[in-house]
Amino acid sequence: MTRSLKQTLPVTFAGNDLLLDARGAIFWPSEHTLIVSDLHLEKASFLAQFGAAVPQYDSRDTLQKLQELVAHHRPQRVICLGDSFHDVKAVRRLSADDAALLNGIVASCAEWVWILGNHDPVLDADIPGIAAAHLDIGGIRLCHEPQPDTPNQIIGHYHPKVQMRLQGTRISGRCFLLGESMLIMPAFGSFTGGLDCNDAALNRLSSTPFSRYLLYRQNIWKV
Amino acid sequence: MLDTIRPSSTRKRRFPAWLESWFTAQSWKIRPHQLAMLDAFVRRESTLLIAPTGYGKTLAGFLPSIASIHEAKTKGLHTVYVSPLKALTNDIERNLIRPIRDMGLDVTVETRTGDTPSHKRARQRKNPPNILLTTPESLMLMLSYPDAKEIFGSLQCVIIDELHSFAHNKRGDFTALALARLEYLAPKHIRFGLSATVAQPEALAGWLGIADAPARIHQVQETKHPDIRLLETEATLPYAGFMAKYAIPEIYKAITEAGTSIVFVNTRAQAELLFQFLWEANSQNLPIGIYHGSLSKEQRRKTEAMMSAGKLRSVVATSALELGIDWGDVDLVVQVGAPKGVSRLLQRIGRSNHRMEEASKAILVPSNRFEVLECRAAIQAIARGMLDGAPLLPGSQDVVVQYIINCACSEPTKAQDIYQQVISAPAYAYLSRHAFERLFAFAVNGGYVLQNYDRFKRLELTEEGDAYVIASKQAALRHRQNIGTIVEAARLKVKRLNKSGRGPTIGEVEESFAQQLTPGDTFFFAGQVLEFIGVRDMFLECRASPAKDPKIPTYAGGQMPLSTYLADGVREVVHEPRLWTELPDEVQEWLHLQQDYSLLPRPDHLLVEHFPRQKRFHTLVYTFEGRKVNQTLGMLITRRMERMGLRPISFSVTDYALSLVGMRTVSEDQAAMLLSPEILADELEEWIVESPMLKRSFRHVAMITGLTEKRIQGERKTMKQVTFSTDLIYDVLRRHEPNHLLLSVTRADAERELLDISRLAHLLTRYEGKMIFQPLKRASPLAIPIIVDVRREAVHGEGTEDLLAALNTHEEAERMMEDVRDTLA
Repeated sequence: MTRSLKQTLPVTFAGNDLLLDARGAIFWPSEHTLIVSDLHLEKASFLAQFGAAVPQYDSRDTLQKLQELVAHHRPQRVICLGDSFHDVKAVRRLSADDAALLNGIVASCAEWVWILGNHDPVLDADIPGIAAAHLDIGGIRLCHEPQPDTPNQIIGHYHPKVQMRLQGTRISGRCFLLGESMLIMPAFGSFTGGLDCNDAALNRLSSTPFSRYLLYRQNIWKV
Repeated sequence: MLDTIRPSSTRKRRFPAWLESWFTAQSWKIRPHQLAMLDAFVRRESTLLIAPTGYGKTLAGFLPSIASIHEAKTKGLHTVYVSPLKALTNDIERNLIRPIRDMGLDVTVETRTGDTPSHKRARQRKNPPNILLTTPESLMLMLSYPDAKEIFGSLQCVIIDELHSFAHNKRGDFTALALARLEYLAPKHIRFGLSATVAQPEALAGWLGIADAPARIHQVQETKHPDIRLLETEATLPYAGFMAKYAIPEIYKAITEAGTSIVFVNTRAQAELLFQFLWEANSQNLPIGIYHGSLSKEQRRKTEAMMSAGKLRSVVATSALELGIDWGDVDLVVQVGAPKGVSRLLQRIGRSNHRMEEASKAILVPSNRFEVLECRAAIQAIARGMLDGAPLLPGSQDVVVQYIINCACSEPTKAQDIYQQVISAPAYAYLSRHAFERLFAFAVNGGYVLQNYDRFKRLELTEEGDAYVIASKQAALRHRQNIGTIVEAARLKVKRLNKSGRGPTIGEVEESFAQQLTPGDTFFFAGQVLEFIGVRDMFLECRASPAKDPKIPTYAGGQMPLSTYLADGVREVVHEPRLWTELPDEVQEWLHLQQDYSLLPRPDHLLVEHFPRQKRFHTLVYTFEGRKVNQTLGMLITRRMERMGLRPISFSVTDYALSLVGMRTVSEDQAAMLLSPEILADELEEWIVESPMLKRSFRHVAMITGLTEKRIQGERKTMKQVTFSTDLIYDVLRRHEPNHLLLSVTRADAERELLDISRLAHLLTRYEGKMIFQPLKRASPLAIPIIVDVRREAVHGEGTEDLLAALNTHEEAERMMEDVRDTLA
């Protein structure tokens, strides 16, 4: 099953060839690795504790999308770049079906790594796969939040989003931000909000402007 | 039963002597309709009183209560007065307390609104006044407390003011349910409705009554038709735009010649701009004020007070100033921009001259040539005594959810009891038991199929197991903080900083407005030019700027839909050259140009023009059916264009026409296909489900049913964590539980509020096979005002992707393009 250039865009980062998938993931062909970030599983059930009558399908939705991605790329290793669970007790709230779904996806890959994030600084023992604060591969550091004095990193955490006007038409969507030494992933979770890519917090992270890759209607565009 | 009384009638009424002597002392004569209301109270007859402004309607509403309380020496709550505006209740309080004090009556009157401080509110619950003046939201809040039965049990009368202004929208549904609750708490009370002149009094009377028992109607005829004319101007009438800048000298002249005037505009942005223009023209240094909903409370109060004291010669205002408040001696109303509806225009004109015997005086100032036609149609309609009105629609179901929770906060609540209360309101008589059960289930725990029921509950069963109460204090608090149906976009308070870095809050703007600003940009607000500093902590910080021309144009455009009658009126005027003789010369010239260059739209045919412009192709459909219909049609047609490979990019609508923009030409056959009525069957279904309109509806439904919160008190930094776009919830819900109640309610809502499907269906079937297709080399005169309108609705399809693709290959370029006016002028 081939994907067009509009669905999977090749880029080079820190000397490595990566594919940016319009579904919000990175596939690293030479490493047979798939990377996603900020799943925020069980966010809805977290909010429910405070009385929000939010439908609790977000985990299922997110996991189904993840399953599709894994089935398509067939990676040997999957890395979740942090904030995979909305809070430390999240995995206990997964429904039986969703837990089975998660276990199935993890089991289908040879290796599964959970990078720890600010929402999930500790990994519950019931979760399959291994936990790590960061991972270094091919000269690139994979971690959740930006680390100082690190030459090349792929991070999550910021949930970047683009809002733009194009000839009078307003377009908005999640995006990848690609800089000289930093690549920021969009959030993968179904109920994750976004941070505008012009926000001061993001501008501080790079001395040169980021290139933006917009995810729009199942395609990915450099804007 | 319609009861029309002419002022000269002399039937005897029950009129206490002590009240009569007070009237005599004021040199007033009691009016027949005021006597009629006294009578209605004694006979325990719920009544709808319809009278034009200035006829002593409010006094008519209150006299029975005042008389009854005084004579029976009533303690406790006797009458609740409900009005849509906080400011109105303040005004009424003033106007009531005066006669009560003059007559030395033992009658207590108090106001309760969102502005009432908490200690006062607590006192009102412990020791309710005889007459309580309040808003629907504050009333519902009071009904949510356990002491509601004690407080309202003694109720004898509910007065609902300005009924015409909210009976046919969600706020009206909300109010209807509050009334149903009062009926349950105090079954013996009666209802008085006060309304301006409306097209369908029977419908309002039905709304006011209990299902199957409409209220009686008492209608007062207007004796004098208002004196309305079109502004006579020496200046050139613009083709497009909404600012009427050309007319400033003449508007100013009218203001100087009047005693006190109100200049009505349709939007806040127009108010700001017009105010600036008038100030620049203010050679005589007259005191002129500005009034709209985004100004701070203090600003508005100041302006209200100055108006009442006669210290202002004129006020530039939006509809925020439209309702009831007595401003004293207004002798001229200037309406800038097309009025959008006859009833609304009459109500505005009614602000001028509160003396019944004299005719109200008004001037209409059209902003552009198209609006001239609309103004003319409106003047004709008023002369013919024809009114338009929005139909009363079935009640919206999201409000019912809020109502259920409200009741459960007050006392243990059984579904069947609430159901009886809800359907006693005529707006909800249609609601089936089954539909209600779903709403109830949603109120309890969200009603989702996939659910861990013990995890989330808003309501829980009592120990006896037969009724529901609110599950926690937190849930009750959350509910009470979000009572109401008015869903506002996120707003930032505007703070004008002085040199020391501090300053007053002068109003609020929508977050989206703030997002387009960069530091240094200048803009108009609260009647001054300000320079944007930045956004900090939910405040938009700015400072006064000496600049004259602000950089950011606040776009101005009427947001109100055109009523059906006016649309027909405009169509008629456009089509008949012999009717043009009364129009300004340039409008006649413009229409003649249209006749020569293209065609005049005919009543029995649908004119469609097609022309290229700046590498795109424009298709103009002249429906004259109003913005809502054109909006819906635009969305449907662009979907079909997408299917047909015509690559639509965007569309924009006015009340008169729909303008579609695409990358390919459209042939006559294709145009006919685009306008075929089948579009309503195939495309509508698909489109509705995916449309951004529906997402907007869902956003409102989500807030009203408590799915998300309107306001999170005191939370700033954590806002990002706790809230996220309801669009995401919508998408997920659609994928996993497409039959969920919220989605069906959203769908019903969208159809009712936004789409005007039946009107569209009528249009398409009427013109099937009767399209006139006019290919042109460039924009026609009639098209120009429409295509220069910068607000366009994006089409998310391949056309847009083409634009993105172009960007991809021209990496350097990220251009913003503005539509530029052609130089036909």
